[in-house]
Amino acid sequence: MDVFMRFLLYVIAFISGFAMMSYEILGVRVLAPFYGSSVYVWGAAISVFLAGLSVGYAAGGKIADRRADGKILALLLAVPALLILLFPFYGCAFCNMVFALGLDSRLGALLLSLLLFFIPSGFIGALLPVIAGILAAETGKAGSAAGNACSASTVGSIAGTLFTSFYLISWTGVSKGIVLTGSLLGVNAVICLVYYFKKNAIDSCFLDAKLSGTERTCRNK
Amino acid sequence: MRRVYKTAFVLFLFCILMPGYAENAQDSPGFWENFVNFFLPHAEKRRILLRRETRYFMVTVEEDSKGARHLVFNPVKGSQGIWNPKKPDEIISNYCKYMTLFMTMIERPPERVLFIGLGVGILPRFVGKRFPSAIIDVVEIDPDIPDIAAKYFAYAKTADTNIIIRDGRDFINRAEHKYDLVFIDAYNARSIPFQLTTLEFYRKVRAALKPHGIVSVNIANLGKPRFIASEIKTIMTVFPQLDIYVCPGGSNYIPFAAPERGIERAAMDEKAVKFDSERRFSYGMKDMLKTRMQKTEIENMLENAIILTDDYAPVETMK
Repeated sequence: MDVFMRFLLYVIAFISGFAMMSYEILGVRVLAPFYGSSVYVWGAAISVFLAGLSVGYAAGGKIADRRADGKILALLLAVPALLILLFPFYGCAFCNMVFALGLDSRLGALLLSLLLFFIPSGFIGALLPVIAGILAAETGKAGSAAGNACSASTVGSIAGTLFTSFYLISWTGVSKGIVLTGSLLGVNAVICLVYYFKKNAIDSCFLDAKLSGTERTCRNK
Repeated sequence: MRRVYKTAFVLFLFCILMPGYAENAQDSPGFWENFVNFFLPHAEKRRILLRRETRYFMVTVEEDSKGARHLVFNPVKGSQGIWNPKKPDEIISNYCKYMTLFMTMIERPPERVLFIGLGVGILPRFVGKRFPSAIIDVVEIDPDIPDIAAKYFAYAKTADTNIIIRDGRDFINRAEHKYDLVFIDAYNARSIPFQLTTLEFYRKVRAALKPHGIVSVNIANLGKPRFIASEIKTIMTVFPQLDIYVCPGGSNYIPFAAPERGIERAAMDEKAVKFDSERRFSYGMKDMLKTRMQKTEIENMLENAIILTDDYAPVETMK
């Protein structure tokens, strides 16, 4: 697989990790006015994100076994992108709804986190096995495919954490920051589609070359 | 093969037991703590009485050369509370003295008092002593702090004091009572937690105040003038009648807010003079009242300020 296509996949993994951590940090800041910023609120938010990831990883693996290409990636990204972009419309409502239940702050924070964070983080988690699947199919090396995809995603997570806490919060505030995170995921979905169409072009080029029996270079069309 | 299992089992036991042992051992500073303390950047060399890692902070209790004890979360930012066991009733921190100015503003003894943030319990002790029948609610997020305050700062709560371990915003969101006095003095190692600085928070504080209630906030000067100005602007939006007192050297700004002004300023001065002449407190209140900020001073300060909201309160990075 040529370098540029592999690079695109790593970028997709990077941005997914970036957006997820950004949403997590902004998400805890959404919880804080209702349940504070005690260690329980952080624990609730982090564990919900991890739960979403764990379910997402497993589900993504099953999806990757069936079909691993750019279109699936774009579809998987469309859901969290939309959910996070539309957060200003339902975020407050959910917070007030859960708060009105009058639960203890630990349970309340957990319930609210589940409502707000579980589904988006699940879909973002599903991306990773699909990316690893694509890489493994191309290179034939499953170990390094998984390792490199995870690595790219985690580097993105580091960047997302630092950028959000150091800069984004003080530049745009919480709700605008969340919308920006959503649009970042939308851009990521577009990158996935770009990857998909390029890959199709390259594959059909190779197919033509095989069928017509000629030698051809089919890179970067 | 059996040796491998034995070694694995011993290592396993070690991993399980060591944390428990370490936790007990770390309370009393040993050789290493004193060695490290020698190199820490303190203004004066202090003896470390306690070093404990709580759920939220790395807390040290330090004794300075005059025998006063300091509660420290972050060595660079100074003390959270100061108390001297040799003079147990004396208030050492300036900002605590300024917060006691409420004594000149109240007409009758308070029935219910709220403290957000315990620190070492200087003010709860002050209020508890002078108004023993008042119901005092102390909200503190860190469960270790009341324990440390009791052990090292002799904070003994009155019979009617409730210590509630909760985030201050969580508490005020569901406050069940209305208070005569509210003292807000909550800090983590870096700043005030943002959800305790916002417009929505102060609206809830106002809702938890009785009509002639008074709120006092400790705004420490941590080198972020725009934050101080924004916080004052935010409080003023909810409490337009704001009296702001400034500690010596501008180290703290102490606003006093009341939804309805109870006492006239002249009456406050009278009371202060009375307290001073009776030597009621070891410090003079009349001079402290003089540090009240003028209207023009406040307007100048608020030039660059913004109103902090739950959505936008970048307190950690504001300058």
